[in-house]
Amino acid sequence: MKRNIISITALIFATVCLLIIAIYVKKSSDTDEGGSNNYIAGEYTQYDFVMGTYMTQTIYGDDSQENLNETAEKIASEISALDEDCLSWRSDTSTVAKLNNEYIAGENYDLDLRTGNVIKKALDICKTSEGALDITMRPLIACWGIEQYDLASGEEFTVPSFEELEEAKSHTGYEKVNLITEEDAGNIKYYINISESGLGIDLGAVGKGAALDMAYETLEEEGISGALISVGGSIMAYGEKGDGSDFRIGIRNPEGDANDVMGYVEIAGNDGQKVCVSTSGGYEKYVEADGEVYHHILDRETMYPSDSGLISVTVICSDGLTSDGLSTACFVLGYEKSLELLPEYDAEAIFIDDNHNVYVTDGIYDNFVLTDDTYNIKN
Amino acid sequence: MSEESSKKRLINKFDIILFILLIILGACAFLIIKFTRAEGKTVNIYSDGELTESFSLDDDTEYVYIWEDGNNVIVIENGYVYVSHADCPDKVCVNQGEIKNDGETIVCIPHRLVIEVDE
Repeated sequence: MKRNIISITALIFATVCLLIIAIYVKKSSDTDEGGSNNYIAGEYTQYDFVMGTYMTQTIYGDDSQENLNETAEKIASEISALDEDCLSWRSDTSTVAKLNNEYIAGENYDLDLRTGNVIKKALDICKTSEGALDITMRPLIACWGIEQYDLASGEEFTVPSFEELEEAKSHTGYEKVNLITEEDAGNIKYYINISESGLGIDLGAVGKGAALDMAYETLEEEGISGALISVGGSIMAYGEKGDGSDFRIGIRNPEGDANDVMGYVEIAGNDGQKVCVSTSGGYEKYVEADGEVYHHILDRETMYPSDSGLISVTVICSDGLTSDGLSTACFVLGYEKSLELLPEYDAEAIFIDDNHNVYVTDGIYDNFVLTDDTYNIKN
Repeated sequence: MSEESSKKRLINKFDIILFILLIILGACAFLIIKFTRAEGKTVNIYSDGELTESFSLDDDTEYVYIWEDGNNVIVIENGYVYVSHADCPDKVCVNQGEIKNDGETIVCIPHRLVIEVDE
């Protein structure tokens, strides 16, 4: 009996000690986080503004904060360079801007390898989607002016006339663009040949995805074990999280604000592998005029904002550019037609229509969790 | 229980029960600690990717973020943070409303501003 009293006292004493230690650890970790802002052991987060949008990088690994920070900086500057030197139609010095200004109808124009690779993949989606994605839409986009419209200016938005739209449409068409690939002793050389003058290439619908593919190369080179990177509406889960838990990628509620999700996709970590998730939706940029809402994703067929009954499409596949381009294409095509397009690229998708119905393709069905009960899963 | 048997066995029945109780107590302590720290606590303000200011989410305050060609008024009130005014063209930051949970952000792309709630 005496022995028991001693052991009870000892155990209670040990428990109290443990509690004190636990509380002390909690307090000290709280102050640690306050000091080092965005670094927790094995996880580093950084925000950057690239490609006219913002990018969040969370990089996992046992490396020091300096090393993870260095990798994140490298990725951010490479993506800025990709935009300014190659893809952006806005930047005067980019390959695409120079091409748009200088090309002569029917003549081959030299492309650098990076720009060539992006145009090649994008043009392939233009063809298989029969123009639902079209990288020559700049004149129509400019004619609408939805992206440039400044609400603060106080000026009312005016919908362009049918004649104006027809005129703009005549200067579009991916089928007028040819990419020529020459292979010489293992070296690839790209030329582009546009059959009419007055056209322009706009890679806005695939640029963020291309940025993710570029980030992937850097993560591989640097031997990073895991990362979650988002550029605008495109997200890449790479490798594994430090604690081995699944990546959880929220699907935005198309009718809510930026932090409002209607569900999420769980992606199991996989060493050295990437999964890309891109969402396109009318909520990203829109204007209102005469009580009507006009969003920024245009359908070349109708010359108007696409009206396929969908309010958002999320495409999931292993390639960033492909997921980005397909999300736009599927948004324009609508649910039924998208089901024919997606298997061509081994891609899965989550569709949300304007009646709050959610359609999830078979390959991703078990990974999707609906959290907002105003939406109904239909299949 | 005789004196003899308790001498023979190093660990008796009571020790095992106490051991289990200790584990349960430890688990409870862990859970209490875990759940009391779930709420977001710090508001971090990033300008062009650099952390420039940090505030406690518990202290009501108003902060004017100044960028090259404009500003955003950031308000911390009743455990929430939101942008009350901004002179950016799209007003996305103002329309985003209030945030309070760990990991949530408000972003103003024209002014290169990120407001983040962190544990």
